[in-house]
Amino acid sequence: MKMFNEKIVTEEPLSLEKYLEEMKKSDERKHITGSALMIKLNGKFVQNKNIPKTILHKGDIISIFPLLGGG
Amino acid sequence: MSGKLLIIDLTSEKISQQIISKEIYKKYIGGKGLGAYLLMNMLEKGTDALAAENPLIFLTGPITGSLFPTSGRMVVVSKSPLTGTFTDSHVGGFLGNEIKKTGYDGIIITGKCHDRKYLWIQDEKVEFRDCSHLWGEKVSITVDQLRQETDLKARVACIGPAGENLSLISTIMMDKDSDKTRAGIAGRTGLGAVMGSKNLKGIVVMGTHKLSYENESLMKDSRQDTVNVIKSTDFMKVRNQYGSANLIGPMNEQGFLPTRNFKEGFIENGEELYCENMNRHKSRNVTCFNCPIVCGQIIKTKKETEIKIEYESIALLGSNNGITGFMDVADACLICNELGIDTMSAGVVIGFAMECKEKNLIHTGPDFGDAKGQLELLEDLAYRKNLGKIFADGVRRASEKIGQGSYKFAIHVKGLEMAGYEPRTSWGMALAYATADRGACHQRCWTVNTERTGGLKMFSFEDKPEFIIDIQNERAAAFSMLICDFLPFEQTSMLSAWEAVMGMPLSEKEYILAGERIWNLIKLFNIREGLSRKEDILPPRMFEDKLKLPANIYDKDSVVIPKDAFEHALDIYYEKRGWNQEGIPTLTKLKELDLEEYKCYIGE
Repeated sequence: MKMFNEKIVTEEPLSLEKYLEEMKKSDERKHITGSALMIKLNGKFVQNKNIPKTILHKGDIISIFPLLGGG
Repeated sequence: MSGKLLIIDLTSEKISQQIISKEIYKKYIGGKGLGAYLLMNMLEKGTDALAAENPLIFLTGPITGSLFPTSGRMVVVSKSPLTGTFTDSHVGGFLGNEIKKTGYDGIIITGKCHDRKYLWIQDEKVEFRDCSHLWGEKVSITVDQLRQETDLKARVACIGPAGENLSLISTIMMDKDSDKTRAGIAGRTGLGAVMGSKNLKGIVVMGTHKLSYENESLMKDSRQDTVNVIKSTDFMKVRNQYGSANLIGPMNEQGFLPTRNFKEGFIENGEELYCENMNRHKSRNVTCFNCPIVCGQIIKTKKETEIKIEYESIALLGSNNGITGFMDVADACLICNELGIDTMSAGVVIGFAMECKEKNLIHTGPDFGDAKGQLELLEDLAYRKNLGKIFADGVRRASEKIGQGSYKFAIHVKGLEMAGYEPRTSWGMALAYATADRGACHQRCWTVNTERTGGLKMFSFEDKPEFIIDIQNERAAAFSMLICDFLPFEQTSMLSAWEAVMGMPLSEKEYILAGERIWNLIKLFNIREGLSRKEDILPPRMFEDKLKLPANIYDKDSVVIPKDAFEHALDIYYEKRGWNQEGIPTLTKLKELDLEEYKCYIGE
């Protein structure tokens, strides 16, 4: 089962917030649906409050982990 | 949303209403958040949780009873007698929808009945009825009898003998496991004792009002969008087939499964506890109100009775006590649900008793692996007989009675027995348990899968304080909206459902900010009740006793949490929250969250 979705950024400049909005509208949506998401950029965790101010560059790697509650 | 709460004073038998403004809903959403607001303002500082003045608050959420998937949920809020903190115990099943149908968004119960009573609530009408004939009865008999006396289709919340005897690990049961529809349980933090202290055996509810929407088509779109998300999420099929029990196997094989009172993280020959075996005993699935996931797993026990089983009960009444027979765990769950005891706290307290016996600190009671002895001790807990006199109020109080250093292996945080994930394997859970508002709870933030799948580094606190803050805020908002933990959804769709019911928008930013506000308000409540940084800590075992890890999975054989690394992570957690190093929110943070009216609790 796919536990997370990894993407390489091909356009710039682009805000991470905009990137996620676009992704939610695409066919990729089913891989990023949870009750919350954890986002890593180039392997580094991005806190929710920092998403709007994060700018992506070509070659950046975004990892998206959909989160669901536990047992 | 009617915006109306029904207030029932048991002492005077007077009924009144409280109107909640839309501004308050926007600020606190509903459910958990509204409960925190009400409890903070209703309860005087330092009130005993078992005093008549402590209210027992049954709340629905803004979208409870609506078309939005998993809209059957509700929450019970009070001051916990087990932890002394704010508590919110979340419940599935059908009672939440029934309360909404009475025309009220919730019920606040205050005072204490002079004699043993139950309440019969039909829409706006409330009757106080004698319940002396049912005092001492088990849950399924009580539910059946209360329906006989009222309406066979009514929904029932009741306590069992454990709540009557004020066991601090007792539950409030909603309906019963042998019903065709799914029962619910307000399981954690001893709310059954709060109800028992009020001489209140049950609450029977039946409503006839239909929920109205401000924008019905928006609600329908929101529902359809979320149903599509559920259908496209492969994992929902696993939930349907196994409930949460699918985790037992992976948790055991990767060293996360509490074993023999958290001495170990995996159990040998534990395969009988795995979900594939559970399904051999399954009789049917059950679902909560309006839920397409249908995750409830009903098992037929050896006595041909039915019981719903989940991961936590299997972990804590099974491996944690050295018991590997699945049907032995099912029997233990049946006793817990009939007597009204929390399976999780009961599992941990029995594991603690077993270790006390192993160490010769007590001389009777079951040994690890003794399934029959576990059943006997469960009965004793509910009736405060024999060893129940020592263990009926959870591990913290039991270790205080036993002494002799037993606090080192009393597995709790803030008095709440730990959930079924080993924190030495999951350091995210270590920090999540320590900082959770009601003690060692896994539902405020669950890091296990994110660590297992590489999202967060294992055996490290790197990134964890920030991650845990994000999830705690999001869960506080979700538990206020009152949607299920297991629901995959788009936040925008869920917020459309809010707008369809409330007739006003709530943006994603406002929603998450409300979650942070709720988390901080509860922190202020707990500070007011005397808690401090020294309670944001784990049991000594986690820092002192090495946990053996399963072979050939990790790059080490054993692990312990370095206390200095944990304390450093806690420092970062407080700093990122905008709290001082004692874990107290700063005035700046209160202003940012529009909580300045509570600044007296931080000494301002």
